[in-house]
Amino acid sequence: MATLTAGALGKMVKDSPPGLQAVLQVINLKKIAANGANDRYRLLVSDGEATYSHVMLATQLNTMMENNEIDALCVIRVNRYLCNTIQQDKRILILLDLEVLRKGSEVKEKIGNPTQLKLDAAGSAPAPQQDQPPPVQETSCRAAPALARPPLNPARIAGGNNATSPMQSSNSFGAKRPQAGPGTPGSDRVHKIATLTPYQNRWRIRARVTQKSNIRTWSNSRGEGRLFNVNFLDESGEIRATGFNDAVDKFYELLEVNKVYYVSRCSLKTANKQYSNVKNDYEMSFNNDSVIEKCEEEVDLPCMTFDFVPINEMEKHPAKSIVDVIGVVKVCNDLSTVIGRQSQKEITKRDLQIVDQSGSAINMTLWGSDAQSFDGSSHPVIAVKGASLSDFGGRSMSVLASSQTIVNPDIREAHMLRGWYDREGANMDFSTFKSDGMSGGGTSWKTFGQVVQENLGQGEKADWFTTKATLMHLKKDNCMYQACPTENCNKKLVDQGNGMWRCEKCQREFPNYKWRMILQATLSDFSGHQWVTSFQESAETLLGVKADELGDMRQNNEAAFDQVFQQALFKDYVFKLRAKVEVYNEESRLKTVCVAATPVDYTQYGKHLVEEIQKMGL
Amino acid sequence: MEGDNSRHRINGALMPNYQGKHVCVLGKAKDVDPNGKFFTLSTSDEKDIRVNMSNPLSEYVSGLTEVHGRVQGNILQCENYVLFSEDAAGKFDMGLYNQAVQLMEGCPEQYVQGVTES
Repeated sequence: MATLTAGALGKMVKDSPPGLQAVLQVINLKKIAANGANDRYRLLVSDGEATYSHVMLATQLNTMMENNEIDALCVIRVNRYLCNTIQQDKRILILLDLEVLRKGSEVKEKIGNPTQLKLDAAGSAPAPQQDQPPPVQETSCRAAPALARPPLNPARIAGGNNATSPMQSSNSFGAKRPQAGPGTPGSDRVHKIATLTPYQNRWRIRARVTQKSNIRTWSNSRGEGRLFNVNFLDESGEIRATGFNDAVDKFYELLEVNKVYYVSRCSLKTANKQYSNVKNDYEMSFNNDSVIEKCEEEVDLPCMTFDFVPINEMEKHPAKSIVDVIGVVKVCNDLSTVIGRQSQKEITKRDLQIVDQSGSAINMTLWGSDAQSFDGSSHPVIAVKGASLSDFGGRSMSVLASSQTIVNPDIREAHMLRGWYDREGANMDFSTFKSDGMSGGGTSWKTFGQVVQENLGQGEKADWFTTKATLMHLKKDNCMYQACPTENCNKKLVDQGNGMWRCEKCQREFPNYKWRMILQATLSDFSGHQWVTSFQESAETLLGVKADELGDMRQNNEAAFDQVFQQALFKDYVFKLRAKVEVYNEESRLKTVCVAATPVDYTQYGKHLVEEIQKMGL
Repeated sequence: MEGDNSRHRINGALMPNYQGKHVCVLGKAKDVDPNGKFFTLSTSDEKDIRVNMSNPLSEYVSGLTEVHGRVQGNILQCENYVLFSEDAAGKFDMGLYNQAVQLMEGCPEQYVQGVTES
């Protein structure tokens, strides 16, 4: 008489150890007609002590049924199986591969006196499940917080892997899962975030919340709702999670940044990289089954990870990208307000200039409450995860709603920055992205010949390059316009004719204006030439006069005005240029803008040339 | 040599290659003879060479100086010299200049220094 593996069913359903090859008896079988697909066979199976009826035969074994190899009361050995969870807590065993040890016709009767296998917390698996060492039991006693959560029991059991028996003895927990320390054997299985996939839904992670967004509401043609996001982090990686509508109510207050939680039973799907910079192919959303509990014990999970980009390398990253940055606040400007273009509301902002050991500085804008509460007086270190990088003024950065800003973080990079700044950084001169043409800019050197050869500007994004060239020709006409005198507004004013000028953007009229330059010039080097447009700052450098002075001269002193243009010619500068092919009425033209023009520093330029020569292998 | 109008820029190490030829040496002048008959020029590769004057110096030379003359043994017979201002001297990168001299020496086809009449 074949011996059945007592207690196997409970193990298979709860733990599903993959290597377990139980010997079971098929008490009964039923054919289930599926919708248009193969027939499925449902079995009532016994391990001698318990029976379980949620057992299906894998379709690849259907032939065994059709050939009557598997008949009622036969004894089988299961070689491979799966346990799937459907709905809240229903567990189904799927038998993938089995061997018939004895035919039912030989066995003829039910072996033993099995009772139906029970699954809930209170009625636990029978004794054989008690293979956990006592320490677990003690630990579970210790971890008895008052947060007994009876309503979550069924859900949690479903999500968990381990036997719940050790704690059944002390029901006062409300059956909270034993939270053993990391070293305790047999502790509840926790999966790594890096292993999460949509194809496996029995998992539990233990992770720290590194970022939590505000609750956002949306309303579009399909309806409206609320949502929020968090980022979870554990030793293996990060993953982003979103909660919609009800999940907001359930979890928003519960999840706190920098605290650790056990999370299970969320829906996994491929990540929408547009909304998140988290490095994971998947992201998850909270649903009605999701379980989140605070992790009470001390767990050694990493805190937020950063992938800092040195400031001088910002140019290598495209505009509108999301980067992490850390630097010392060298300049902290006052609060200012701007009118939001779309919202038409007042928004407060504060511009900071941050620097790092790369010798470069970059502007960082804080908004709203971040701006108001910021104190830059002690030149703090500021780290921003997920800041947005724009090509405004060359390169500049802004804190987004999804960014995480930490002042003086307790991380290695911050300490190194502090030491460096106090020793030398405070006195250093930094190259900024506006006026810098040579060092640290990150743009490559090109000649005009190369611009044509390499088809610069024809791609989707503009190409930036540095070149040394001579100013050959300047267009005197239309080199300046009257602009709105408001700070930061450079819109061309409309002459009302009555001595007043109107700015459409600011919706105001002014009796005065400021002159702004748009200068068209031809630049040449040995390999070619290029028409380049320069705006205020670089134009003023090239002409050697300020826009307002030039405006005066144009109106009052033509000779002086002409002289300025004459004198400016045939001088050499190092130009930082931005080339982009633009289409006008079906014609495409290469437009080159001068972002910066600096007089040639021959020493630096010489060094650059030596490098280039050495590259040629001479 | 007659008809040789080239005047190569050299440094201390290149002196032996240009025996008897007209050269141009840029360096830092020091140790001027009280009678103005000679001084020492510290070249771009930090070698000291003696510069002999055909006409005694009427002014004090020091700092960045360029000497045009003929190489005679270890001595540079000065025919002409150019003094640079303190300002210019301050911005001058001697190391870079030395690299330039070496490159010019290494690529005579690319860096043609004067024409030789044959």
